[in-house]
Amino acid sequence: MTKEEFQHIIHPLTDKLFRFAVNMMHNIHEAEDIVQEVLLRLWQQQEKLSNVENVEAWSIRITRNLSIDKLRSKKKLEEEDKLLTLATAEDSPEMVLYQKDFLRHIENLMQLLPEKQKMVMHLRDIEGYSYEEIATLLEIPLNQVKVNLFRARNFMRLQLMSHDANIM
Amino acid sequence: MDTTKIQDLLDKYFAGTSSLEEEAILKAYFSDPAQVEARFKQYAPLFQYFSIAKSVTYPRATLPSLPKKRYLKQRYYLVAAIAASLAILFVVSSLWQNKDKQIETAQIDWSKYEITDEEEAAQQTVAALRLLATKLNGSTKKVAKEIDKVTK
Repeated sequence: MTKEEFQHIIHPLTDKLFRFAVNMMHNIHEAEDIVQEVLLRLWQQQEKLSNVENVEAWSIRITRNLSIDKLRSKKKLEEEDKLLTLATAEDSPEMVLYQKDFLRHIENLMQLLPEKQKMVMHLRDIEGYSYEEIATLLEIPLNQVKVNLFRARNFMRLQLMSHDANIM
Repeated sequence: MDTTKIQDLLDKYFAGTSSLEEEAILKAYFSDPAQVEARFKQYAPLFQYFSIAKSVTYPRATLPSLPKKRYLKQRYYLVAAIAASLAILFVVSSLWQNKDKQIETAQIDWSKYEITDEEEAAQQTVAALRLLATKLNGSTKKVAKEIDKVTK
């Protein structure tokens, strides 16, 4: 497999892998490193790629495993000072501030979720995968996908309601 | 938009039973803060976060610069395998050639069989001469017999 062929298969996945890693790591630089590592691993196993039925699922699983390894080794969950700034440059200053505030809040809430709930919620609500696809990607039963998603959303709803009540 | 429908969709969403299409409707509804009703405003950040998070892209456009490492590694193994095969071939052929040479050049050390004792030497010589005489006598008798046959 040439580098061009490899890039043709893998390049469309890099944004998804990056977002997944960002969601897991809560740190852009570490997420970048993880995606680089994923790409290297995929390249080193390029012979297997043609035999892999679902390259996307395989890539996400590698990203998930690397992220979990890194998180567990460094205990990154406590870090609160490296929040992402996802607001876009075109937004007005007031909107940027508003977005930063709620993005920080939602990001913090996301980070409070258990790993599995966080991964399921990310794959469903950000990437738009079906329940079956998530079950395949994370190698968990379908009912676990639904249970984890329900718990994650319910947690978010309760937190948003209490946040809203505090503001008022 | 029909707020009852939004409420229904939100209920399904938080129950974890909404479809992707229904979730898309919610995202579209919450993407415009101006149209969001006051009672739903608390949920707006969540759906807006999803939309913004989806727009994040991988900042490194190129792949890691290690693509040729594997080829080099494979080539190294190939060269090493060929070298090892040649070395084995050389060693085996060398051993084989040396074996032949040893057979060809091996000589009998006659000194081991040389008789040094004079008496024993004399005995052996006498015995050898006796054997020779016996053989010669036998031959003489044979010849005489043959002559007799012819003359008769």
